[in-house]
Order: sequence, then structure tokens, then C-alpha cells
Amino acid sequence: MPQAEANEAFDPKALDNLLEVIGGDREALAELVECFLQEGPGLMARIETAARAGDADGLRLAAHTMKSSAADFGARSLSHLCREMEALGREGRTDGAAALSEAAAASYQAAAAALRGHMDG
Amino acid sequence: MTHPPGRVLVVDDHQPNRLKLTLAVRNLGHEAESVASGEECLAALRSQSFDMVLLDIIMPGMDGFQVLEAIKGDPALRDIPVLVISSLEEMADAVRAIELGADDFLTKSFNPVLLRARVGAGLERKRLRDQELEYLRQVDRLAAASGIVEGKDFDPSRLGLDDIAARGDRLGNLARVFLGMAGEVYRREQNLRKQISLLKGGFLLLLLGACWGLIPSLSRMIMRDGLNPLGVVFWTLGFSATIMLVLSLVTGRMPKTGWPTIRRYLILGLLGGVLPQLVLFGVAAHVPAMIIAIVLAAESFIVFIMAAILGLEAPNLKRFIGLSFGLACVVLILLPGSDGTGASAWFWVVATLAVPAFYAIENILIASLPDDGADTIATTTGIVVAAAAIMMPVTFLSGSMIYPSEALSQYGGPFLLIASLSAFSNVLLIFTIRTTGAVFASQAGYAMTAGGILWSVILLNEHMSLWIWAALACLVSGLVLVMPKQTEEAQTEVVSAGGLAPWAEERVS
Repeated sequence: MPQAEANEAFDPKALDNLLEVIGGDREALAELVECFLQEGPGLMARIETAARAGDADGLRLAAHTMKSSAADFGARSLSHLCREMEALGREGRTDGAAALSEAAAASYQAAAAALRGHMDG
Repeated sequence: MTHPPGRVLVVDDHQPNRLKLTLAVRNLGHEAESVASGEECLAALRSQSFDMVLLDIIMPGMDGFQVLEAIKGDPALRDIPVLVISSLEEMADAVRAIELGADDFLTKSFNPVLLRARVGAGLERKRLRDQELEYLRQVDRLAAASGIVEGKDFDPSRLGLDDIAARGDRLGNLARVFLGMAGEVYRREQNLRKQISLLKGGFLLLLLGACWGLIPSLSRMIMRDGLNPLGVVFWTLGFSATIMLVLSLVTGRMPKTGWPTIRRYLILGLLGGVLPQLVLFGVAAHVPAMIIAIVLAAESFIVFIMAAILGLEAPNLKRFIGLSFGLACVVLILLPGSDGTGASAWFWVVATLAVPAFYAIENILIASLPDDGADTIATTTGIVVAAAAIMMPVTFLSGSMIYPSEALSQYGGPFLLIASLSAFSNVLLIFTIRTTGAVFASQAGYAMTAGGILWSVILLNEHMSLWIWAALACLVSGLVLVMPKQTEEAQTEVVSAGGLAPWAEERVS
């Protein structure tokens, strides 16, 4: 995977920003990452369910939440996909949301793996 | 710029966001708590104290706008600054939130410097608003205090303005001036009250001394006719009991019944009524009334000796010196050249000491018995009636009865007068203690001795020899040293053997 594409899946610089925000405490950062990784699957499931069920408001809420969280943890492409889904939901639409949701799930998996690797490394 | 630490509530439905904000706020040196919904936010704000809220707008259930409306619509919460958290694409939401009363906004991907500045500014606004509210509250309290003063209550401690007076600003100065003026008026008022109380107390003491002091002279006057003391005591206690029963009926303060109480009345009636009166009337024919009046004041000394022997009182040099003065007083009375002369006179003076000794035993007993919480007048009536009841069979069985035909026709007046004086003086002593306090009323013993001496001079033409003057000086000095230190708080009620114990200083303590 080229570096630019890899950075879209997970940008480690985001974690530097996060570390600065919380005062440089690496243990707290690890706790935050762990929290994101625990909450992530549930949130992705909510996005998928809302997309498949045509629930525009549910899609908007879940995508909104994952959008900012993903950005915090450097999952840029996931954040972009969530922004698109949130926009759809905001317009009351869910057409094309299932495809976006599938792409987001894959993006989440890639970001989560990269995030784990980064923290372990 | 650093800000004093504040307490911040983070509200976000997504746990990683809550954790990030909480850690970021704590990193700024503030205390942070977090909740996951708008409902929890309002519950937390209503149950705990927070200085600021960081509020996510988009949340399931109650969203940030609804929470804001609830906060700004609640007078108890509306002054808490709210910083809304929104993303860059939600600027319209941030604007709407500010229109609803939010103080500022922060984007989700915030810069830590910006977070510090905005949280700091919010907390500073809260601090200033708190100061302003506290100022307004203190102005209100000052205004309320003026209402209290208008109601003629000038006691500075009841105005509750001390914290306002400690302020260094003009409000503090106003409170200080206000407190100072109220305090001055209060002191003057208190002084005036004390003076009135002193005057009233002085009059009551004079009356008490005049009434109770009459008893030794009256006793001597009737006993010189050779009456049997048992018969006299029967009649005086009978009259006393009747008077006290009428008083109890009129005031609705009847003595308690039941065997333990009756037994208590009988014991106290015997020690504080029957025995001392028998001795008093027995010695009255042989000892000058003046000396009886002085010797009766020895009750305080005897109480002290008994308390010391029983270990109720710690040894105290000052009181032992006082006791020595008391003994010197007795010796001076017994010395040749004083009014009593010869072995017989010595015997009767020493016998007189039994009267205060019985009162002292009664006092020690009263102090050692548990307080039954009974009313003083009711207790007094119970004790006097018990004493009269004891005297009835004793008088009949000993054949000492003075029959009504003789008692009422020849001595009815004096008997009734002695009984009335005893009852009246006892009630008067209680009234004096209630009116002037225990400290002032403890002077009653002096008034009674002085009254006794005065009446003996007026009614019996007894004269004060140099020895008697010296004995009196020793008595007063000894009493000053031996009497327990009285405090203003010790305004306890007297439980005395109503009308039976003329020299009642110990009871007053």
C-alpha cells in the first residue's frame, strides 16, 4: 500500500495532536485508543444497520459520531466516508448509504489494524 | 494567564469523545466529570455544583439545544457557562446554540491552546457572576438585617453580618458601621436592662431579707412563753402546707403522686422541714434571735464540709480559708462577753447549728438525687405536705398537741405569720432567681442574716456587741470565700423544702 493511501487509512500524526491535547500522557492515550477500538465495532454496526434499514436519522447520528472520532484517531478515509453518510442522513436520504457503509467498515478495519500496530510498535 | 481551578461537566454520548474532553480539561488543571446524555447532564447540574458545561450538540434523546434551553430556563442553573462542541460543518448549529444562551463554542478537533482560553474565559465569567450574586445576596442580607433592627432587635450576633463586615469594600464598610451602631444600641439597652434588673433584684432581696429575717425573732417571741416545739411545728407546718396547697391549686401545679415521689417528699420533708423547725423552735427560747440569724447562715460552711467529706468537692485552699472564717464566727459568738454566756448558753448555740446542718444534709441529698423534672412549686408543696403529715402522728402520740382552742386564740396569728412568711419567702426566692439570675439571688443569704439581725434589734431590743460585729464580719468574709463560684448561666431553679429552709444560698447554686 503506497504511503499516501496508508495515511488516508491511518495518519499517526493525529495521535500526536491527541497526545498534546491530553497533556502528553501516553498511558492516557493508550486508554483513549483502547476506548475507540472498543466502541468502534458497535458504532459501525449502527451505521450498517441504519444504512440497510433506510433509517436516515439513525445514519446521521451514528455517522456524525464516528466522523469526529475517526478524525481524532487519524482514520481520515473513515472520517470522510462518515461525513458523506452524515450528509445523506441530514438530507433524509439513504440511497447509496449501504455501499458507503461497506466501504466505511473496510476502512474501519484497516484503521483499527494500523492503530493497533502503531500502539504495539 | 492562569485561572483558578474550576469544576467542569463534560456531556457527550460517545465515550471516546467524553474521555478525550475529560482528560483535556484535567490537563488544564481543572476538575472534570462526564455524563453521556442530556438528561444525565441536567440531573448532575441539579445535584452537584459545576462551574462550566462542555456540551455536545448532536446526541440521541435530549440533544444539546434542548439541554441548553433547560439550563437557561432554570434560575438555579442559568448562570453556569456552557461551551458547545460542534464540528466545522455545524457552524449553523453553533450559532443557534449561542443564540439560545451558550457562551461560546469549540470545534471537535480543537487546539489545546484554544481549549485553555475558552474554558478559562468561561470559568472567569462564572467566578465574576458568582461574586456579583454573592454581593447581591449580601446586600439583601444587609437590608434584611435593617428589618431586624427596625423590629427593635439590636443584638449584633443575631444580625449575621460578620462575613459582610469582613469585606474590604464599601459594602463591608456599610456593614461595619451598621453593626457598630446596632452593637452600641444593644450595649446601652443591655446596661439599662441590667440596671433595672439590679434595682428590681435589690428590692426583692430587701423584701426577702425582711420576710425571712422575721422568722427567728417571731420564733423567739412565741417560744419564750414555754410552748412545746412539737406543738408549734405541727401548727406552722400545717399552715404552711395549707398555704402551699392553695398555691398549687391556684397555679395548677400539683405535686406528683406515686410511692417513689412520696418517699422522696417524706425524706426531704423530715430533713428540711420537721427536724430543723423542731430545733429552731427548741433553741429559740434560749438563744437570741440575732445569733440564730447569724448561725443559720452557717449552712454554706456545713454543705462545704459535707461535700468535702463525701468527696463531692475537691479540696480548695480558698474555701478552707472561708471555712476557717466560719468557725471563727462561731467561736466569737461563743466567747465570754458575747450575748451567750455560760455552759448552758454554749449548748444552745451549738444546738442551733443543727438547724443549718439539717438544711445542709437536705441540700446534699437534693443534689445527689436524680432530677425528677418536677415543677418547683409542686415539689415544694409535696415536701411541706409530707412534713406536716409526719408531724401529725408525732405530735398526737407524744402528747404535745397544742389544741386549737389555745393555738388559734393565743398563737394563731404568729403561727400563721411564720407559716405565711416561710411560704411567701420561698416563692419570693424562686421569683428572685428567675428575675435576677442565680448569681444575684445568691446574695439572699446575706439579706436574710441582715434582716434577722435588724428584726431582733427592732422587735426584741437585742444589741450588737463588739463580738457580734466581729462574728458577722467573719461570717461575711467566710461566705464570700466558701460559696461556689456562680456563673450567669447557672440560673437553675431551686428545689427547696419550700418555706422550711430560710438560709438557702446553696440551693441557689
